[in-house]
Amino acid sequence: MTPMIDVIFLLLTFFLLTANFRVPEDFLPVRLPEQSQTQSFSVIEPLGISISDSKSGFIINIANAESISVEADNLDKGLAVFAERLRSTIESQSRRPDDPVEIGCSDMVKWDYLVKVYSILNAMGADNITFNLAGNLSDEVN
Amino acid sequence: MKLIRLTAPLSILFCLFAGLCFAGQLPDKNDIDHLSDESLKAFNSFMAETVVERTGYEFNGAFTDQMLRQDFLLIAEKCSVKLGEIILMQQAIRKRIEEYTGLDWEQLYGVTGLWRKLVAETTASRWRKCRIDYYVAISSTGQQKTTRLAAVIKQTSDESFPKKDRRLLGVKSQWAAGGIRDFKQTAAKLDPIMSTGNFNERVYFETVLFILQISPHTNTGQIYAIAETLKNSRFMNDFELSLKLVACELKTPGEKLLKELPKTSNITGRLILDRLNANQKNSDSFLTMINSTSPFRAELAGLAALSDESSKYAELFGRLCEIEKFRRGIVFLAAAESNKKVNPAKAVDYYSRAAMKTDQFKALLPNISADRIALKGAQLGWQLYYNDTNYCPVAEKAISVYWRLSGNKTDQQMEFLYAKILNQCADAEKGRQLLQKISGDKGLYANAARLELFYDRAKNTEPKSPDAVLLKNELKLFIDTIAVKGQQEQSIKNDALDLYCKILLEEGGKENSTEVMQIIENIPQTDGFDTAGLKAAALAESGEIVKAVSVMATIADDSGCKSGVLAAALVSQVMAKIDEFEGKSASFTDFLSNCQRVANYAKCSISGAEEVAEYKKIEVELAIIKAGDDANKLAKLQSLLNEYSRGNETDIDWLRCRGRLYLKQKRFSEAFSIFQRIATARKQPGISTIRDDKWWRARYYALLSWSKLPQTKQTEVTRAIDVLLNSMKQIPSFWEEKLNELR
Repeated sequence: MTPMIDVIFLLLTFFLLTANFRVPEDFLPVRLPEQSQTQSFSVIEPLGISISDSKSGFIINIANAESISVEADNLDKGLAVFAERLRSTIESQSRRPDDPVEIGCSDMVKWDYLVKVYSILNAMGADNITFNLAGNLSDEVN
Repeated sequence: MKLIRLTAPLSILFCLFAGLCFAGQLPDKNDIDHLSDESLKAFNSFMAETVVERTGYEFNGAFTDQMLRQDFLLIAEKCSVKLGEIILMQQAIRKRIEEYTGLDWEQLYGVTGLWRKLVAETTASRWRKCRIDYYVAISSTGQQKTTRLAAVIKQTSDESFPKKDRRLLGVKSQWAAGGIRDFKQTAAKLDPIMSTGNFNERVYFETVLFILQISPHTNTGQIYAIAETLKNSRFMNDFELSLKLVACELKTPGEKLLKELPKTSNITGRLILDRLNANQKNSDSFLTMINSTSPFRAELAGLAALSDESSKYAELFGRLCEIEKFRRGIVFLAAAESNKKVNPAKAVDYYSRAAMKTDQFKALLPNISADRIALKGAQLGWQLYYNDTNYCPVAEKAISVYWRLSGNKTDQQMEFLYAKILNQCADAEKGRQLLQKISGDKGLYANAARLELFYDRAKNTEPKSPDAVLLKNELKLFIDTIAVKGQQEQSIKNDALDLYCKILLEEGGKENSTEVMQIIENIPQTDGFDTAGLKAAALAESGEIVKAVSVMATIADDSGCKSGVLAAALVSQVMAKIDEFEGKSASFTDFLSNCQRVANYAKCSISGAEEVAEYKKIEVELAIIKAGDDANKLAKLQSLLNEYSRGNETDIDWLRCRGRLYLKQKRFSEAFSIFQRIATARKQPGISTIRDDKWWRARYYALLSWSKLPQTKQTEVTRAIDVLLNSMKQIPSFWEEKLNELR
């Protein structure tokens, strides 16, 4: 019996010394952000720009009026034309450069092209750029 | 009591009058006989008139129907008063005779036996009154009943009355008053009558039957033994004694006498019926009663109900029809007759079932044939369907039963109705074939059948399709061939023109609406022709919506739903462009009121839950537009809107209603948010510069709300409108104008 009691005491001492008490959870107050009750809508009608792919590059359409074909091997030229047309559309529609812009992009367009168009818009002062999500929004309202 | 109070002084006056009349001459045989006849007549007519109530009282030990009890009390009181008057007159005559001192007295009243007769008749009248007073007493209530019964008991000690009869009446009165409640004690009191065993006395049988009625352990053996004795006695044809005997049998499961004595069946049927009806409200006692009631007894109750022609048994027979053992022809017939006013749809079904089980009641009702009952059901079914087309299946079933039972040999009208109803709600193809047959027969209903076939085609033809054009042309030809000889042809022609106009309007176009207007102006008689509805539709088709609404509003308060579908179409046309009518009508408020009336009327043509919800939206939207700036009205409308839209807050139409409401309540920020949300939802996916009318409406109201915000500058509003108008193409002129007004 004596050796057994010794072993039990040894084990007890071992577990007491090696025990690692866990820090209780939830002791730091954390507040999750609440869903916003109001939605912000732009009063100014956004300028619609659609981008679709083509065999040799991509096509940009500004306000369903002018289509600019941008060749992949001559991107700079095409994007320069786009920037010029964009400027004239903004002027003709009495817009300001920082007015909202809405981009509709087909699935086949390369990300690279989209980024380039986005960069030009950004460079021209557009900071309220959204992507066309009309379908998603309309789901909210029955 | 009032009756007695009035009749007492009248009786005295009558007696004085009679006294004066007799003053001049001595009473003779005629006077005595007349009064004795009157007394007997009053008593007998009371007994005949109240046999059902009296038997019912003895059978149930009480009056089950308080209304019947009160009626019975009135009749009994009237009879008692009448007998009282007769007794007074008899006593007056007796006094005159006794006071007469002439030498010819013996000649006049002695030898002739008139005086003795008068004395005996007066006693008989008093005895009759005593018996009637018993009925007055048992039909009274409370203290009055006790007092009146005590008076009857006191009268029964009068030794001038028949000994055994007064004993029986005394015991009956004591039983009714609750003085004795022990059956054995009662029977013992009646023992002197019973012990004589004289079958030649009616009182003997009455006593035996009374004991049987109050006995808690009546058995059929005793009843049948007495029935046998009665049958061999001189009272074998006494209806009331037979009836009482059958009533005793009703307390047992036996039915021998019920079947052997059919002349009593009407009254016994009523006893069963009243007992079932009185107990049906208590489910436990009703269940017990149902279990102890045989189908034959239910049939007798049905017979009694049929003779009553009342709706008060509708529920009872409805319940009986649900129980398998009572599903007998006569029970169904009674259910049909009692339900025909309160629940006609069920009655139609009961008639059909009764018609199919006619063989079960041929013995009881030999004069009613199966097809006659089925015809009743068919007629009622058709009437239901005529008022509400939802009853089409009910009517179809009833008419088809009649069709089958009459061996397809119905009259032309029924054949046509059957074909029409088959086509509309049962077997369309079979109905079509029958209609074609009728239209080819050149009978009375040939044109009506042809018109039905046109209706059928119109229902299955796509508007504006080549088939619709063909249908239109054929219908025109048909209309031209109808020779109007009478009201029927005129009605068919009008109906055909009505359908023709509807097809023209469905096709659309200015030419068609002009043709419709010409037809409306030239139609000689307007019966069956939807003048106002078609005129409104034609006006709407030619773009004159305000006038169309005004025309439609003239029939909006009419009963029926003749123009319901056209009104519904007009309402949706109006609601799509409601904002545009503000400047077009002389009084926009009047126009809106008319719209509300038309919308309310159009509700008659809708049935689905979704359509009902749509009309709630229309109702609220019109009310909001009409409310103006009235804060109270707007607050009420907000509550209504909250209530109606609960659970559907994001529905686009409810959102628009809410947006309009907030705009009127000057809650511009919330209104702006709602209308922008609607505009976003109305926007088609993809980049486009062309938007629909509804988007422009939402966008206009969003900008209007935004322009009203205190922080919004006019220059910003102008620029937003400029950008919007410059960015879009094919802008609706109305909204372009409205937007320019915001600058």
